Amino acid sequence: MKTFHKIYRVSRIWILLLFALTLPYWIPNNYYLQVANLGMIFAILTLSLNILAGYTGLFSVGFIAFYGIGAYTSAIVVTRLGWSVWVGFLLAGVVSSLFSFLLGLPTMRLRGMYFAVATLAFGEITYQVFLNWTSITGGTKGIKGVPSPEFFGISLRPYSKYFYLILIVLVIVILLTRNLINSRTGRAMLAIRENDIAAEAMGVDVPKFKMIAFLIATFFAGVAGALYGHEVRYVSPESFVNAESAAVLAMMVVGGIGSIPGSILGGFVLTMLPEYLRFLGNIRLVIYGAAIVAIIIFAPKGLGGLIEWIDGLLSGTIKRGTHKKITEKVEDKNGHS
Amino acid sequence: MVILETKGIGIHFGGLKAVSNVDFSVEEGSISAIIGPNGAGKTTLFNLIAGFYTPTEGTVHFKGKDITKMKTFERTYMGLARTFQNINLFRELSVMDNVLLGLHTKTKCDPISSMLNLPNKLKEERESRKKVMETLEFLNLDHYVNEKAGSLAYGLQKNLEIARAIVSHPTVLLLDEPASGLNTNDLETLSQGIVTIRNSGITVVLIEHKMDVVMSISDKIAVLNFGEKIADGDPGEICSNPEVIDAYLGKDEE
Amino acid sequence: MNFFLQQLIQGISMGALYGLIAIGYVLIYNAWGVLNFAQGDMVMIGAFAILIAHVFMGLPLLIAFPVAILMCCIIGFLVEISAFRPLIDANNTRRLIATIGVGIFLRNLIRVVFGADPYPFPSVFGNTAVEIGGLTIIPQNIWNTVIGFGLVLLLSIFLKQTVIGKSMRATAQDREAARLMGINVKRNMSITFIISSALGGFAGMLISPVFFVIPTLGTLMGNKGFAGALLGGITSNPGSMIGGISLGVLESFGAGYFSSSVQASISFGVLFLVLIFLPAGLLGKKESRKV
Repeated sequence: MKTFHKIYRVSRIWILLLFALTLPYWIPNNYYLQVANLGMIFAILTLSLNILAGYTGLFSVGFIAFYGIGAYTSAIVVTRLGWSVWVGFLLAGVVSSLFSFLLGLPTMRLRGMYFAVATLAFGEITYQVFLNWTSITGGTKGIKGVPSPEFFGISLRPYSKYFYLILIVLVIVILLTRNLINSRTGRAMLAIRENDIAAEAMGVDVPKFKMIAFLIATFFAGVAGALYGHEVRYVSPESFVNAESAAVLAMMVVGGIGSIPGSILGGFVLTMLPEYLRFLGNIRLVIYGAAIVAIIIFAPKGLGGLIEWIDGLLSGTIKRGTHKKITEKVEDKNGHS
Repeated sequence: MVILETKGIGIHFGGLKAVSNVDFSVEEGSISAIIGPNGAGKTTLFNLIAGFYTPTEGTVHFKGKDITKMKTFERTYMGLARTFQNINLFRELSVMDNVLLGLHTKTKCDPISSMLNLPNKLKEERESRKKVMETLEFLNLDHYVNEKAGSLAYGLQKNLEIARAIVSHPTVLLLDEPASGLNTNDLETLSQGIVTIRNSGITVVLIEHKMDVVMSISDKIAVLNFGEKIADGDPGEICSNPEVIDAYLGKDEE
Repeated sequence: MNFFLQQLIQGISMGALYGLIAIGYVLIYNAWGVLNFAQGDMVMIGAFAILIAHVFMGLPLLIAFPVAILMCCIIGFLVEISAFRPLIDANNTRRLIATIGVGIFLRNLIRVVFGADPYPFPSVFGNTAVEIGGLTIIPQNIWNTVIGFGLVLLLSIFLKQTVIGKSMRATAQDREAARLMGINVKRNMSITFIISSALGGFAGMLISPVFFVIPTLGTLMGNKGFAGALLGGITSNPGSMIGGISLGVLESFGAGYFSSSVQASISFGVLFLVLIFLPAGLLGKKESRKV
């Protein structure tokens, strides 16, 4: 059994990577490949929301706005100014962060609830701007003909090629997030989530580190938005309505608040699932709403908790039965807060 | 030399005067105690010193500087560390992470290098973790490095809070009832531990109810009652002060 | 001058409804410590309830109104008992997410059942304008104001004079202490949610002749009510009425003196300005921190 654990611990990351790298060959159908791409983009977006909400405890209700800002920024500079798509990607992150900075200035020193409300309002306003600032955003018609990127002369237009671009970005975001959490900055963020009074006593400048988390999260969200725009090659306000914020929130909660593997799985599963459950139509969001509530009540660790548990069993770091103890602790903690 | 001092400090919440006109000074390298009946304003005085409350009157001085207007975290940066009466740990984080947070003011790695795992970050992490392990060993917590703070037994949690506060080697350490909830054996260890901390060059100020602890280790004691300082002096003077005896006897009669 | 008064009356009438929604937020925030992001959707539920009772079932208004209110109360209670009660001691993050989840659920459930298209609702109080001193006043305006203020008055009498009301206020101040004093905290939470739902529902019913009945009504009205609550100071009942009315008047003047597109953005503008300059609102207390 010990050797099995050892083999598993060494090989798990490679198996996962191999699976990810060969995914386009597993999904030969072009349509489902596009859905898989979208799933990965949403995984990035969910991960970035998790940096903000899961790690720092800051709730952003209209988070889709930053994704939208990223998508529009890249689409605008590429189609109207003729800049390189790669510059568009980078600029998408920067502009998205810039807006979060402006929004964060008045709200970071306030309590979390006010921040949530401010982002809700920001989301609404952003949508209105997308819709009504026709000269720049194309209004309801949106921006058509957003080009695909090229990599040394190879067009990344086919979904099977674009897949790898998204995969690389996803892996980078995962690594950066993981490194961040295991650092001085990341710990300060976690401390704010856990207990802001103790965090201050440790010398953490709470508003500053909230702001840092916000900037990082919205940078990733902006890049994810640009990835989206260049994947579907069309950007319109309908992709950034409030309901989409709800979907991302559902992805994070279902995946597990504060869990990296959970975010990825949550983003992926909740993008893929509705495609297979098309017959449900509009019921999708009804189920999302119910699922959010049910998971928050019964399994606050979401899919991520399940993955961590299975992973712990396979790698031999936890014994059977510990999972229950962990959830009890969560309850215990919450009882005190 | 006086390292920490309040001058005529006071705060009122609505009509209630929680602390009023308190002059309190701490000599560098000493162990000072604040005692007094429940609700005398001891913790409030700590919160004023640490910057969690803004005083309505008076000033706080630290290292010869007026810090009354400074934010809590800035005071921590200057070398003022504290523990809390009702343990304020990061419950869901590991023991290691909790104590690493105690080093926040001593580290300076920026977010970008953090995310990219640049050499300066890895070096700082390595050094920080080493320092944390040393502190954990000193407080007999090294077996619990990877445990969640919230899952530790009460006594260990109290130790962990002290570890988190002293890992940065602050100038002044404020301990809010370190002995509460501990049994007699642990009290002895605690007293010795506090003396060791002082001997390592950290000035200690403690709020405590357990009189044997206070009397055995304190160089100076201040007594609060109804938010006002009614006496201060060395343990001998305090024991024989009639007003102090009154305050405590009065409390017993209730 | 007449135009000014006209806009003022219009604003107060709309503002009274915002105030009703705002109080729903405040009641739950005080009792539960978390903003109920589903509060706006209770307004939408109210609008649909009266639509069902009056238009679909053909009940006369005098019967339809109580029936619709009852529906709102039942839905509010069901939501509370199924989604919020299990989280009574959970941390704020989980509770906040639960309210968002409930909002998403209600909004989309209604959309699935009734479709996304707006339903017109007949004018309840008649369209005959009344001339008073050169001012043209629509009955709806008067009734909104009267019912809005009436409900707030009733609520404050209920909270101040009745045993249940007093124990609710005690629960809001300190849940733990209330529990120790033998107050039935769970029952009080249910009552709080039922009252908030009913108030939201009332607002929805009064709004339905003005706006169309549509599943997204909740988001729209929720934002306004919330801005009103924030302006008044999120912890104060009279404050939120004042906040709601101020917002209504501002909107009315914005629409009257500038354009109706200004009106739409006023609530967001107010929201941001309050967040920046007046986080405690007009009447709210600055929250003291517990260390």
